[in-house]
Amino acid sequence: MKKTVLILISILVAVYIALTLFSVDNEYVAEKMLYRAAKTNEKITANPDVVPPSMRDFVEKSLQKILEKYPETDAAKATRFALAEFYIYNKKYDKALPVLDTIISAKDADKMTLSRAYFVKGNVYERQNQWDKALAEYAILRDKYNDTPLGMQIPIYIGNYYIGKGDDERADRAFREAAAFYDKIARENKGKVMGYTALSLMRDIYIKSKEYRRAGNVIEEILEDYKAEIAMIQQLPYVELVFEKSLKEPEKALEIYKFVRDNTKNDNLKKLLDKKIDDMSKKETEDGKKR
Amino acid sequence: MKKISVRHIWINTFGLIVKKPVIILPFFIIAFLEALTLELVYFSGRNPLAIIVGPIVKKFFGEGFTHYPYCIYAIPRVFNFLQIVIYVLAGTLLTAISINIFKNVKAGLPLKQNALLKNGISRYGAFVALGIIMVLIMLLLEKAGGFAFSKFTNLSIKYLPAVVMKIYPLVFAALLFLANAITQTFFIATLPLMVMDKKPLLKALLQSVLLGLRNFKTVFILVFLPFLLYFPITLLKGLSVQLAGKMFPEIILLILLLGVLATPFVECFVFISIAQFLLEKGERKEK
Repeated sequence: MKKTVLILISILVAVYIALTLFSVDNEYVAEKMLYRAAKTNEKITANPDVVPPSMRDFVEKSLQKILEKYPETDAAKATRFALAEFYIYNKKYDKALPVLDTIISAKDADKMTLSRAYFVKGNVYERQNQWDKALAEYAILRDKYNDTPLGMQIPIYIGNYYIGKGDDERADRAFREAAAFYDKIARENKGKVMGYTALSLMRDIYIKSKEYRRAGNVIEEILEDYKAEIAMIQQLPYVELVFEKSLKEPEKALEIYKFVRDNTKNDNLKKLLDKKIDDMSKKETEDGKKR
Repeated sequence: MKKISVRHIWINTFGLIVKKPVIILPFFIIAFLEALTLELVYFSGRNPLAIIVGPIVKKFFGEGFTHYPYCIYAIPRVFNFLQIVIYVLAGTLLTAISINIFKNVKAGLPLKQNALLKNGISRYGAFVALGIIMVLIMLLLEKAGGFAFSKFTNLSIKYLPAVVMKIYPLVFAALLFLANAITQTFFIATLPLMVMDKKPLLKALLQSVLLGLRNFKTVFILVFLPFLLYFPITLLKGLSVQLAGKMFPEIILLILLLGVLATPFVECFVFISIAQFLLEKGERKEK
């Protein structure tokens, strides 16, 4: 009995040792190291004032070790961003920039990675109050990576930066440029998701700059070109905001609600719109009588 | 007729296991198979095993679960499935062998390894069928538990104060654990009846249910109290993902290993107690 149990335990130990020795997987080891470093970094960011310096050292050394020992792994790509963000958080901007440059210069980097790297690089300059340099990075992002989420949104980000600084004139100019940028993308990608996103962002810019007539035109264009149900549903709150509340054109809103109702297969939406149309029609009749 | 005392059964069972530890050996083999499986599942997240297992994990769990730490988070589900396979294919057979050893020891018969194995294998099909039935019953109970949990949760949010809601999952886990023990009360004697009285599967199942009904209190205590050792492990299993997030992902493995290590002792004690109970019941009837 004892002998059998000992044999069973020995087999388990032997299998464990064998698997540990033969499981040489750099990707796994790198992922594990990255996870541990990220966990420690989480603790640092939760309580930055009370953590011992050794914790910061551990994170930095772990991330650097991954890059040195396992540079070819997928985990190394994530590690570079983690290291850059670690430096940014700890205000070591001079150390963050070379890491970001390494990401940008990598031959196998995909568009999403590159767009993120340019954005973070711009952010580093922004934190150092070097807006011109930041703007240069954001311009690359806008011009070369406008088919990525970050590249698509950067023109609005630039406008918002000026608003934050209280520079209304430059903000207006930035938003006008942004609108022209989205208009171009929308024309080039009509009927595609990218075209829809560009129009939506253009609509948001016009609403933000209180150009409601233009915003209304964009909404109508979206409804005309993008008849997917989700696209129509997404426009409804803007129809209310722009046509009913801002432009005071309830008849136009009513026309759009009827259009959406007639083109949707969603029964709940139909019911909702029927009620809205009824209420608006009654109100219109009452207003007519009063007049 | 004087009732059979639970204390008396436990003393006899414990004494017998200490005197003839070979009774527990089949349960150690089950634990060994489970531990070996756990090792393989753990290492399947990295090469070379990942080359074979990776595509399967990707298909059933998604790309994310092939990377650390999510490959560790997937282990309980994979291991749970493999535990069921082990239980059906080997668990019932090995438990039957253990009960057979107990029977021979009690009858003063010699313990011949080949004869015990041959005896067990001759009814392997019935044991596998019992394993499948038990798994289906447990899965049904789990589904019913999940359904009840969602229904009661909806009601509890409306009517129970926030403080009660904090301990509510714990209370519900305890209730589920109790329901599991009650279910086992009606089916636990099936295997001992099949081995000791050589009853066919369906007859043994029916008799086990009747035994549970007629001797509910005794059988329930025989099952429930040793099973209580599983309760903290069950709770830990339920909290393992949260614990992994707060401590380290490998804690999931340690919790599963704890469950594997507890199994031979708890299961052996419960089954042999039930066998002892059946034996004493039979002896009293004869008298």
